[in-house]
Amino acid sequence: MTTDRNTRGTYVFAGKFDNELLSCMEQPVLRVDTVFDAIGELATASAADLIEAVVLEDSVINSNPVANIDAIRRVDPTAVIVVASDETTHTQADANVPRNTTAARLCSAVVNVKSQPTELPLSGDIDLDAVLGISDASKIVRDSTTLGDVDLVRALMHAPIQFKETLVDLLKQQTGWTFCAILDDETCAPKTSIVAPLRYGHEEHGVLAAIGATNDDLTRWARWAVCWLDLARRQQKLKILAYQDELSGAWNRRFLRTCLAKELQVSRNERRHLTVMIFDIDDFKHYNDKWGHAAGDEIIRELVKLLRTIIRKGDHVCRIGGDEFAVVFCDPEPPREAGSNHPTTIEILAKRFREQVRKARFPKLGTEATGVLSISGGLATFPWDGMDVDSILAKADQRLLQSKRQGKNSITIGHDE
Amino acid sequence: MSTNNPNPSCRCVVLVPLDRAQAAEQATKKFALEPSIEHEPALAMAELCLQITHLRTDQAWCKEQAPAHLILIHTQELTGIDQLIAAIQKYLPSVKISEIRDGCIQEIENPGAVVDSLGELPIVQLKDVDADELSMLLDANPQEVDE
Repeated sequence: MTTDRNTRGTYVFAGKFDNELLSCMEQPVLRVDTVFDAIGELATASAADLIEAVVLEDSVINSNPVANIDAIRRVDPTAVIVVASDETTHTQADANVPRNTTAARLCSAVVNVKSQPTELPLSGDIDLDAVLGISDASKIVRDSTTLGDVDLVRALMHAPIQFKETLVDLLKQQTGWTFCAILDDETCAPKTSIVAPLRYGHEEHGVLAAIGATNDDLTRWARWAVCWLDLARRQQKLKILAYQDELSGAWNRRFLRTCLAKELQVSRNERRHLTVMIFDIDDFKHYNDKWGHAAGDEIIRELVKLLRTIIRKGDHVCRIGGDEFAVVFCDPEPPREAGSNHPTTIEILAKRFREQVRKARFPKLGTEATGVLSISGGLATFPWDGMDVDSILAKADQRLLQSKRQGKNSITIGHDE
Repeated sequence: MSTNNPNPSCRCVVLVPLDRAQAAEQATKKFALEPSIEHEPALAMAELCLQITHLRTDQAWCKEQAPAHLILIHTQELTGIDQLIAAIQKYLPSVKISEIRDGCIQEIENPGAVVDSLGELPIVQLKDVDADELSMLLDANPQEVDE
């Protein structure tokens, strides 16, 4: 049994595999007998270990392939699961290979899986107000019988998510229509309703549908409503511009501080931990100088894309300087409930990211360049490393410097010098 | 060891065959458990791993922690239990393993015994021992033997 594991990405083989296959593997391999052992290895892998793939001989999962694969994924959602079988294709696995597969074919299957990015929401798709904690619905006291413009302004300021609802309530109150709704298109409208387009300049906002209205009334109120809808859309766009990095699409430093303050408060109230990783690209100035700023910009964009394939929903990627990034790892779930999937440890995610960057090839660096980047980073976790935004960021930054001093291409987790 | 009120906190995993799920529900009510009920050994293993991870996190807050607990119900009807227990002993040694027997939750002090009882019992061949030898083996202490 080979037990050597390091950040090159260990392959765990569960079941009976030819010694020849294992000896041909370039990656460290770990051989176990059962699916339970494979789960145990994944769960007990320390931050220094990195299990890249679990290769299952089909006989070890045949009792219930779906449950067995699901169990592995629960413990480490990022490890690639490959099933070696001559008879069945297991669609729950990330890849299938024949039992007499070669090392090259196996590695190729794993690389193919990893090159397909996980679908994650982009920055613009999230409820920014909720993430930043800047909405406060308690400031809205709505009485649907006496609504006015001030209620629309309040909704815009304090609870944008309730804005459309408030607008419709106000329309109903002012017009006495029996039905009124803002819909994406007229096909969604009830058959007995009449509709008017909601268009402001070239901006489309759907349609206003109503029952009990005349065409003239509806058109007049649609013109009024679309002004408000366009104002709300512009305000949202401005907010995103204020918090987003234009080059990479990642969040910016302002977002980091606001979001971190809010998340720390949540973590404090709910007694959860929260980790921040700060990292930068080793010798980035060298790449900029040698290959030009366009290549440097491309690298930044590619790096953010890559990072988004690794983080979990609820984590946030921020660009806080030229080549300096921060990732807020916040577990969006409340304290675990039975049956829910606990996230993979942050340390493993961070190590995995560093390894992915090292393996990634950046075409913009040209054929003459090695095309290889490395990063150095530091992790700090609330409450152990600090209790507020400044102390957490300072500790992560201090560990980033420690990584640099240690020779770069490393991530310092929790051991101060 | 057995108890009618083990109070294993909410951190327990109950492994029960799917067609015996009702037994898990009854046990949940009877012993006031808040378990994660699993019907597959691999999922029970995964759930225990996650609970251990969570326990470590909670320890940072100095909360008093009950150990993670696996409760087996009718698991002789499932395959792979012996392998599951072996893996728990190897990777999650702090996990307490119990089974429901005679209406009580009974901790399995020697999980190996359960493993044996679930499969075919091994046949142990003993060499013949005469009465004198047996008496000496049982009663004599080593010093006396040396004398």
